[in-house]
Amino acid sequence: MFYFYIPFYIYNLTYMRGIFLHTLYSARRDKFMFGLLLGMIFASLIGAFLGSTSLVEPAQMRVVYTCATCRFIIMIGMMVFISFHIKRLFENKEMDVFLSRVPSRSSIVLSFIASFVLISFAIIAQSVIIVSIIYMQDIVNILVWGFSLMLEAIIVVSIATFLSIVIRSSTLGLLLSFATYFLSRVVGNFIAYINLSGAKFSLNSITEVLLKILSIVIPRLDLFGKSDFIVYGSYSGSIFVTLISQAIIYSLLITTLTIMDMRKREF
Amino acid sequence: MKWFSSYDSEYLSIRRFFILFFILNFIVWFFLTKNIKPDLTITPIPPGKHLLKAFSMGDDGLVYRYFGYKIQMSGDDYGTVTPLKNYNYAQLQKWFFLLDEFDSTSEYVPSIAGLYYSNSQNPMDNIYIVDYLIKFSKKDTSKYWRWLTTAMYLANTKLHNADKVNEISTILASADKNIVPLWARTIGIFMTSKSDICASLNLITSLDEEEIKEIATDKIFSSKPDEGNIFLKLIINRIEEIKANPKAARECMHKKHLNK
Repeated sequence: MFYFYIPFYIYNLTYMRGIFLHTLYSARRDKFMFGLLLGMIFASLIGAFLGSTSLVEPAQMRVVYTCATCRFIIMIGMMVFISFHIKRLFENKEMDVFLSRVPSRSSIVLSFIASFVLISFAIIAQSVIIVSIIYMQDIVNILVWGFSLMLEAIIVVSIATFLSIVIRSSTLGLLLSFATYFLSRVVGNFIAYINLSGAKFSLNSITEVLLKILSIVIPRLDLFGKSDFIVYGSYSGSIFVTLISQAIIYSLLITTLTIMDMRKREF
Repeated sequence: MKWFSSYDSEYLSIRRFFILFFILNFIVWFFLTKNIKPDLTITPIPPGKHLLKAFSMGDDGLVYRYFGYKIQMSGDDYGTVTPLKNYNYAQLQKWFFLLDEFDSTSEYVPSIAGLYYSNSQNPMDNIYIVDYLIKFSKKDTSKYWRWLTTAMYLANTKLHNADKVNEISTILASADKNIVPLWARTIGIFMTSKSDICASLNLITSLDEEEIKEIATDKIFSSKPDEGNIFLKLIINRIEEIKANPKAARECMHKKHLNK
């Protein structure tokens, strides 16, 4: 039976390649990667200027400003690109063309995510080069930082794709992507406060329970891409086990949800 | 419903509305917004640690550098330069301690404190700087001993506070001999006053025989041949002072023994 479906799988892969390339060409047409590169260069120049006016440790100041701004530019840029790209696919009926073909809907979602991840990796590689130019001291630490950023990008891309497909309104989808991103960067603090407060049963305790439930669902993006990775090399194997397992689990979970939504949706 | 009967009445109504809103705007400005101005406080009250932690969104290094830079540049914005005596040093000290929570390795904040903010025209402001530098260095004396020598210098020359000098020289004297250089551990001998037998005794007893030999032979301490080894002479002078006051020395030893 399996051999019967082999031509179908090959056709499916060819078709997935088509969607994959379509997204890449779309990014090229929008000059998305070039735009983000310009943004990162501009932000790095400002960071380098501010850092050079520091009383001591100017190199560290430069690299901290640069890597933090590059991280924000990449993640926000990816969320905006994904949201508007998918909105355009629906508006221009390109999605209907994709769906009218034989291959499965899940392959469409997988192609989207693979292409978005590839685009984000390319932009992260650019940011690694920029940071290496700014801070020519610890190239290994910069590469490790870039790797952790790639893991973060996998999660962010999955969330943004999920919200852009599931929610019809692109504005709402984008806002929710931002909200999820910022929430996942601060959710660790909420849990710390809950442990500190030790409140009795009250409205606060209900909020505590809600936050605890939320913390199970929300990934901990505050652990990724820290500037301390570059300045002090403060990373270890155990941290990367946490980061890699989060990236695998959350991306698989969210991709499955997106596929489920695509399969059940009526166009 | 017809709002305006003719072009002229429409024009008049709009004019009336315009005048009415202009008057209302003037009233709001005069009674409410006239005195609301941007807060140009030189040293704002530091926020709580948890608030700043949430602001960092996981990247503590960024918060440390960002707010450290703000502290470095505070008072010198909007085209103005503020003399250091006008700064609120108690608030500054709170900022220093707060930022240390976000990066325990960097020496950026102690550098701002010890090298820049210590130049206040009001020398007594340095009490906040000295206290901060002592607490910062106590985290790891063998690593941050340099800031203890800075604190000692400030306590001696700006504050003229012999107790602080003794406190710092005691910390330095007990620092790791393999890491902290001899000059740093014994710099207190230059700062302590002649009458302070206890401080001299503490410092001299902290040196072992090899270190005394090192001081006697090392060229760092004997800068010019005609002056001889000033450092060794100072130590010998202090030993003479201790010998001249055996009672005070005995009391000092007794106190030290009790403290142990």
